Amino acid sequence: MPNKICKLLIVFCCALGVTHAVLAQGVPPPAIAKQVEIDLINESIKGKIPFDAPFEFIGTPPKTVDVLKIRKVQLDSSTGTVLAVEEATWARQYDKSNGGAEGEDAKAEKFRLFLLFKQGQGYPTPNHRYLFYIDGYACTWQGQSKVASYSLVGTTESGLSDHIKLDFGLGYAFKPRAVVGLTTVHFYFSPINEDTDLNDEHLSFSRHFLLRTSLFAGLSPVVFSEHTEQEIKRKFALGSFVYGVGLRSPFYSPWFRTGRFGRVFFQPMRVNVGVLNFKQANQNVSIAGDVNKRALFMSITYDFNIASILGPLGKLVQ
Amino acid sequence: MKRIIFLASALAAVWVLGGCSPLEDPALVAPEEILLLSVTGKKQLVANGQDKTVLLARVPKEAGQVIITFTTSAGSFPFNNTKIIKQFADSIQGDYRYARTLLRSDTTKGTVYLTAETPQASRRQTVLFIP
Repeated sequence: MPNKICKLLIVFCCALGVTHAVLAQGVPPPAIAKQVEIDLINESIKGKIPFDAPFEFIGTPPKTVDVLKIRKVQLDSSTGTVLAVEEATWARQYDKSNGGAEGEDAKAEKFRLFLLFKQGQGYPTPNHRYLFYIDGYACTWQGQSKVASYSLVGTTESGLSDHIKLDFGLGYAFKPRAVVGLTTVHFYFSPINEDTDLNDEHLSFSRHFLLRTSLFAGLSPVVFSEHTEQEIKRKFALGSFVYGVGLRSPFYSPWFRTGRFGRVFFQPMRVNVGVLNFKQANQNVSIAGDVNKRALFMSITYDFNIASILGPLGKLVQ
Repeated sequence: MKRIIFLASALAAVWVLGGCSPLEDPALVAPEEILLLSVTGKKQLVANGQDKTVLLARVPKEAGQVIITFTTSAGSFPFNNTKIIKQFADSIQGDYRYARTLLRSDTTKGTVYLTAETPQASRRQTVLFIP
């Protein structure tokens, strides 16, 4: 009986954790692009360029420039592949209360250049160097005249941690007809940017594949129900070993519309197929040892965002 | 493209390494695979208190140390009716371990019930004590 109470408590805590993790992500934001600060005068980019996500450049425009336009974005070098970018333009806004005249306040305005990548052409991908060509124009009575050209170099760096994601959830092992709780580590072959919206049509099919498919390994510490003659036992002290293949956000993609809350509920979800390694007492009662067993299982897991589950304490962890 | 091929290979490897094992089910185990008692000598003993036969108990090799207790409804065990099967250096033969004991008749006539018992199982055999 206490064992059942423990299991129920674990289920309750898991459900609470999932709910908290999901709610902590809040209402899906409108496509707010990450801001990357650039210095046009020194032709430098402060920080890294985000990959697989929209972003915008911000900075202080040179005084002589009234309009900024991104001419092109090129991969790796001046001869590299040109990323398709729709015209991204910023124009200085003058204070109309001042009769449209230029004032010091207007000159201090910051520019924002939102990079519009064309659908299906893809965003910058991880671990590449990109060249951004920006032209500056001055407004005259005759129209715009080009007064400056800037070329900036930015990189989309990623680390090992971007390849690894934690999650937890419930699985069903087919042959023992057992429901198990599990926590797993997923290894992606491509870095994952948390800001990437997997519903984004800008991502190419191959990026979708790489951003969604993972190999995982982990532990199944609890068995909630089983239909076996011999009890399922943990392989190790902490749980049974599991491994397999995961598919991230299967119900959230440009091809599978899920509505407004799709990103909140379906993007952190994974559907996995794998192997549960456990032990069972030998079917021959004369033999005392346990026998190693394997069973195929399917699971649904959610991203394990430790910071959101810990609530206020999570901020300290971060 | 290379990454996709590598990933596809890894997925195939997981698939190959995966698969199921049959589950353990005590109902599938034949009783003689747990404990077998057999009379390897004569099945009929003269009820004169002198005639003897050999009883053999068998357990799986993986059973490890097992205490086997032999009992009889008549006659006696001239040596010992309790055998710790691991004590026999030659107890492993093939996939099994064996324990032997000697049964000596007495003057009782008729069917005699013999039992071999381990903590997990018990088996019965009969021999006949004849005049």
